[in-house]
Amino acid sequence: MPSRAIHASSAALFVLIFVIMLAVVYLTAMNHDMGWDLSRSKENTLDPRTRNILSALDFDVRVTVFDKPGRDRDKARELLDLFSLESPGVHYELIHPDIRPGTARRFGIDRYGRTVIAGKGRQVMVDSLTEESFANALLTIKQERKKNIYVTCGHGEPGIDDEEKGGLSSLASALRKDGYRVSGALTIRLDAIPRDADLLIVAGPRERFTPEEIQALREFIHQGGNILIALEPLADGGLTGLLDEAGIVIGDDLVVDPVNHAAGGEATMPVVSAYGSAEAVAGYTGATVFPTSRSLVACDNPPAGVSISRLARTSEQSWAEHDSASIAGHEAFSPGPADQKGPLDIALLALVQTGGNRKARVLAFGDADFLTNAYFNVAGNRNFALNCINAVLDQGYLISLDEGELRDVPFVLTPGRRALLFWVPVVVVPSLLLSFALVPAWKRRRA
Amino acid sequence: MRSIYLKELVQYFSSPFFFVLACVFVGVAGVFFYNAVAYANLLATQMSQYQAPGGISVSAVILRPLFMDMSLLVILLVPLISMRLYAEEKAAGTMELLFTYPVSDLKVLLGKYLAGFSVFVLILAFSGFLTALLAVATTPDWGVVLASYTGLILMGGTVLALGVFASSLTGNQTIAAAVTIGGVLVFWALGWFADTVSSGYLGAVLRELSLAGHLSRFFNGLITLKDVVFYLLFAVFFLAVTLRVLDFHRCRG
Repeated sequence: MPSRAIHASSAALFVLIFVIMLAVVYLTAMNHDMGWDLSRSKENTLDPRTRNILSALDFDVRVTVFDKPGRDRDKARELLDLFSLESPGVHYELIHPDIRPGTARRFGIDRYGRTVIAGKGRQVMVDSLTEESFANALLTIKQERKKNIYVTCGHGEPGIDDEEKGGLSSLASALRKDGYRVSGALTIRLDAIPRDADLLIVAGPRERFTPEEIQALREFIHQGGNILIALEPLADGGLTGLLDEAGIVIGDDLVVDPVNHAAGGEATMPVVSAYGSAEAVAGYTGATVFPTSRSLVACDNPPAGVSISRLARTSEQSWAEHDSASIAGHEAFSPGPADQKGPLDIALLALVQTGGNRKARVLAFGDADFLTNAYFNVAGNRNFALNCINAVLDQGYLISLDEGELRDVPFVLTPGRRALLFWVPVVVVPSLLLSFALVPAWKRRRA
Repeated sequence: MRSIYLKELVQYFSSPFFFVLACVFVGVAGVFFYNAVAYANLLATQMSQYQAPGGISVSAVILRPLFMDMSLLVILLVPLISMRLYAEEKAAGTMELLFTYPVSDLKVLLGKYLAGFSVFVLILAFSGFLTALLAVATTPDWGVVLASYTGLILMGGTVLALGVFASSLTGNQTIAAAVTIGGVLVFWALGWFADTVSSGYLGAVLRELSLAGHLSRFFNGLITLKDVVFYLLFAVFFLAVTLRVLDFHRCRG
């Protein structure tokens, strides 16, 4: 009996020590966890924008999800696992608000799914946890001050609240999601640029800016302000001189590309997939569609203190059409002797050294349509535009090289296929397997 | 170890047991498969009626539910494979003979475990034709398929280790299978209790011990080090405990 007791206690001790050892190994694996996403759509891989934000995280983030058990809560946990896999600074807790009502009340939770994201002594509450809401909350916590983007109006430019296809509401919404404050700026009335502007966008003006406004823009640049100018063919808004001063010459033409243009579109919708080496576009492989664009030329000898980077160029098959009749009628394009052959610059970035060691950035696009609602979400337009703006505003961690992937695939089931998918797995294969079991037994019986 | 492994394999294949098990597993999986496909077809039809753009997520609508259902089948299948490994020897009175083999208990255990594991993987492999059939109607995400099978194989290996342990405790195969199924269901459901029992450390520990909790990421196409290590350690634990049980039997005579 004593030997049995000794045996049992030694076995218990063995199990205890073994469990501790295994727990140590498991905790080590937990703390150094890594994952391999084998899914084609990379649905377990965070958007590059979120990854960039998480990898640039220099503070701990505590996420508290208040939800009852269920599918939504499981999804939140899966998402939080991905966040913490990406950054060890993300810690989370899932709380059932009905089981811990005191905690829920302390955070002001009044509905299931609400999530509190806290860090740097600040906290943001979101209605439900999604990758986007989490990333935006991090941006809100991270930024000491929201950067201000003003979009000029009053010269026939599309409006930031205009949700029609010619409006800029999609651009404004995407910029807000990236943590910027976006407002309109009626420069003709204010006669000056808002003092807190980090970026001024001039997109597709149809009317000319007044000399006073242009002077205000010039002073804004000289004070180190950043400006984005996107001009349509045949409408320069009177900004040619201002761009000249930044070493960018805008062509009085229309870019035509008979080979690399949008499928189903005209040759005046060049598709660009050649980008420069600037931070905004380095490594970017998405295709950008520019519906009706004019060419830009970087000065060979830019003014002192100005350096220019190429952002996007058209193909070698393109040319800059100068025939105003063809441009106006959008017909019968053919390269003439005066037309400049491709590749043509369509987007340039000028870095202007101003007084007081400040640097202004002038971002110029030969097209404004690609920023409008009709084209903003087409191909890689969205990422291209946002990457350029984020780079200008020194928010490099928001740059995304993702082209976006189609996660859903067509599912077509004809009656024949449907029958096949029923009979083969439910009847044919199991019957075959059963016959393997029964035939030998039947043979043995016969023998 | 090789001879033990081969002997066990021969025993599995010399009776109708293997094919009957495979037939039931594949047949029921086939019903689950067709159910998921029919549901996906209904969704696709509704989407086309409402002229909704795009298609359906085959991974979410077909593959994930299918593999989730198959994981429940694995819980029921593996105990039937593992139940005889030691219980049969005990019932036949050949355990003492087993101890006299000129190989260590560990090698005997591994031989038996690997034989059971091979049988399980082979039966699971029969279900592979389901995803191949799916390619008739759409383009399955083969990455999700691969990750899901990896998860099922790891989870099956874990359940098998628990089954070997249960089999070493009794001479009755039915009891061994019942104990295994009961044990697996407890570990399966630990995650469900975790949140209601405690949201503190106890809840976290229970969640980490849950067999189901570690499987869901595989079905999303994600293989994480933590999940792989969990299943391996779980199997190692029960195999080690089985060795102690065998040692106890040997000492008791």
